[in-house]
Amino acid sequence: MTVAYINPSFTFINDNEPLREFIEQSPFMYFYSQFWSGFSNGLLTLAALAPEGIESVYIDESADTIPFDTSFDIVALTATTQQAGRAYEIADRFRQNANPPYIVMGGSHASFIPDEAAAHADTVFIGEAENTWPAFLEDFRAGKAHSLYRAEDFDPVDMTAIPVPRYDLLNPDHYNMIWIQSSRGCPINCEFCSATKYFGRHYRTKSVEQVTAEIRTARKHLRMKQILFADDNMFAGRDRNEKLLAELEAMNITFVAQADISIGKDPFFLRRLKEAGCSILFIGFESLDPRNLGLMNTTAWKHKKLAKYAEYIRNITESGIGVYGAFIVGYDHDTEDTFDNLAKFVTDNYLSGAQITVVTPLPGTDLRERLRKDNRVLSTGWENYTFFDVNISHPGLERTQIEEGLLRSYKAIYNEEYLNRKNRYYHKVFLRNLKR
Amino acid sequence: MSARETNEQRIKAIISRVAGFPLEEINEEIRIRDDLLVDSLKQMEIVARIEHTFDIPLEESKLVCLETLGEFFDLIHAEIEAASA
Repeated sequence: MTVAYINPSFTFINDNEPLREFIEQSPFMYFYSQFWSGFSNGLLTLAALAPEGIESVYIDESADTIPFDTSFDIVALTATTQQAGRAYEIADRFRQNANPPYIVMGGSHASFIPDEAAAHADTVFIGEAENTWPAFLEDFRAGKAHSLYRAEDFDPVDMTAIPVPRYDLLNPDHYNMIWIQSSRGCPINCEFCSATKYFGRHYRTKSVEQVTAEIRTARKHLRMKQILFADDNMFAGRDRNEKLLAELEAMNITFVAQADISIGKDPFFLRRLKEAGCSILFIGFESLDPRNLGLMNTTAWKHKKLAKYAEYIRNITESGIGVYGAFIVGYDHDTEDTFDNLAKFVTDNYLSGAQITVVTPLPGTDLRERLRKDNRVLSTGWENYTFFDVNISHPGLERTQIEEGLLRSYKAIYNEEYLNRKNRYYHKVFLRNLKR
Repeated sequence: MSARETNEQRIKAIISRVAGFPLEEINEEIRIRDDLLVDSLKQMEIVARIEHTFDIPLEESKLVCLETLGEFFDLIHAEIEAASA
């Protein structure tokens, strides 16, 4: 029996040609683009959960051609929202075969809109699939597969029991970045983000041994690559941090991790992080407007940190770790000035880079519900949910103002003048730290 | 081992540490950006560590056009020789 695990292609930018051109062609955006590349860790994990006797094939449509005429027994598709349309096309194309495979679909989009996915698949998975996938395979072999498998109908996923993803299925020439997921869950529940709805409020972590085994296995198959941790907030589960950092340091790797800004209040921990190989922290600042931050999170978690942003960033950069800031534009209280203010904040604080995206009403988010009530979700297709395209109506900004403002922000950050200024700053930081 | 070879081992050790790649995999053919994935931040750390280790200044303008580690090694050796001349 053969299962084809397919990660559909995605559109980086759908309908904002000037921005696409700048990001693809600017030499200052090479590493930015790399951060958006990668493979589906979820599918590789499912492949690792398949029992012996099942052959697994991983197809990444961004790099591979899908062999529609091959006789797979099962085609397993995952899709984020912007990949959903393509996932449906792939499913429908396979179904035209004389002897079509059994089609299953999972991932975040199918989890939040299962009825839509069910029109294109024989079975839909809702939520984390580490428990539902083996159950499905057993049912399928017995000829009694169900049309729906919901994570909530099974025991909670035990993170410490998740196997090492099947990195051996990847073509090493296709990827510069190795994505590792070491934890799941986020208690902050920002209205624009579906992570809390999908993974839950509680931090759940893999063991340090699991994480190091994943890194070793990935590097064995993918060789010299940059490691990025996909966790939404990697160091929030403080219990394992010291042991994890000691193990990472011993591996002589460098890595990029995501964290919240409160990590910047502890210079001692930042030094340990740097020693362990952390080169960049990816931090969601989201907005510099307290009214927007208040909207994003009802507990005002980020709002309360706003006054400390600059101080905490300085602590991080002066420890020799770069900061990549994530910002959302097009939020309710944004104006024409927002785009220039963001760029100024990034360059004044020597951020290594910034990921500025347009507010996107993803299925499953509280944001989508709020904007739908106000009739502000535009009738765009899922392929437009790229985070660089506009899918909402804004109370004060036209679509073109958001698109042009976004491009203006990127141009103000990714250019030779700022690169040189940033380089001089970090050069001084590194020399000073070496002399300590 | 010649002075050049000794220096090259020290440079490789710095690159291995900053880039996070195994020392034994670092060779002259490796492309700095595309293979090592050394971004501007790591470049600055490598430069600072080399300046600190060998007590030489490195001009950024000479670094930007380098593509391979072999070219980088040659530049460092030239700077070390110039500093000791």
